Amino acid sequence: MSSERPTLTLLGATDAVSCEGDTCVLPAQAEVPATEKASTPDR
Amino acid sequence: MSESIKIDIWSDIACPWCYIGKRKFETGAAAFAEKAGADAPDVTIEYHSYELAPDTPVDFDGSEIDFLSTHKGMPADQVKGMLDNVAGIARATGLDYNFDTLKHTNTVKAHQLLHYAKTHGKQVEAKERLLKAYFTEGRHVGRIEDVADLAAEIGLDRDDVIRSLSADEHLDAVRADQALGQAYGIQGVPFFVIDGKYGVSGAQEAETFAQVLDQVWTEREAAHA
Repeated sequence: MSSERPTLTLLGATDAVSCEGDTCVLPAQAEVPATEKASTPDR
Repeated sequence: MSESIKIDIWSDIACPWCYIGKRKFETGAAAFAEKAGADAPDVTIEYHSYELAPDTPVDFDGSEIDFLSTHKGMPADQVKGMLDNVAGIARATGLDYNFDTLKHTNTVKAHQLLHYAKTHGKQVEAKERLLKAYFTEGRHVGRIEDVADLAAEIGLDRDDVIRSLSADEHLDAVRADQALGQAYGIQGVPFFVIDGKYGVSGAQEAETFAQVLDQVWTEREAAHA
């Protein structure tokens, strides 16, 4: 496997929630629910 | 029909945002296909391995709240509040997360199953089965026998899965995925690589995924015009 990093152009929002290490549900990220619920009203 | 758009997705099983992101991507891809109509290109998905916590034991005797409060030194009430918030997001996305029954475990065997399933054309089904088993059904996804049970439920040969997982047949493929993810600079999951050129990080809104697919498709069509 080459160690050379392929170049990616980043698209989409830069603040979308993700898991890094085992910190998936730490408070800073868990603040998102209100925004999420507001933007997905018809589920 | 245009040439298909390739989506490579780095994710883990024990990753609440990965399942939520998976659903949002699927919703976005469906919206993109509907908008594009008959000319819509196929969207081909391949999952790649990313272990968020490779040092997690296969068997952890306790709840998710126990695990997080022990490892993070946080009060159990605070952890419960966090998990309730995540479950709320999942519910808004159409997913039923049950952290009370979730069995915290190491996911390396589950990742090997994903590679096994890929060789049998069932990787997407295996990913969904593992995520649902983990977050919704409280099933164990770390032990070989339990992973093989789930594999059998999507039509894979249980005995052959046990043979493969016992021999770590696909462990090298798991490690290769991790190395490629590192080469891409991926530090969190889910992470989506589109046509090997574009990166999308995190559980984006479905509308964002639809827009990204439309942008990639439009650029490709313009380049071929």
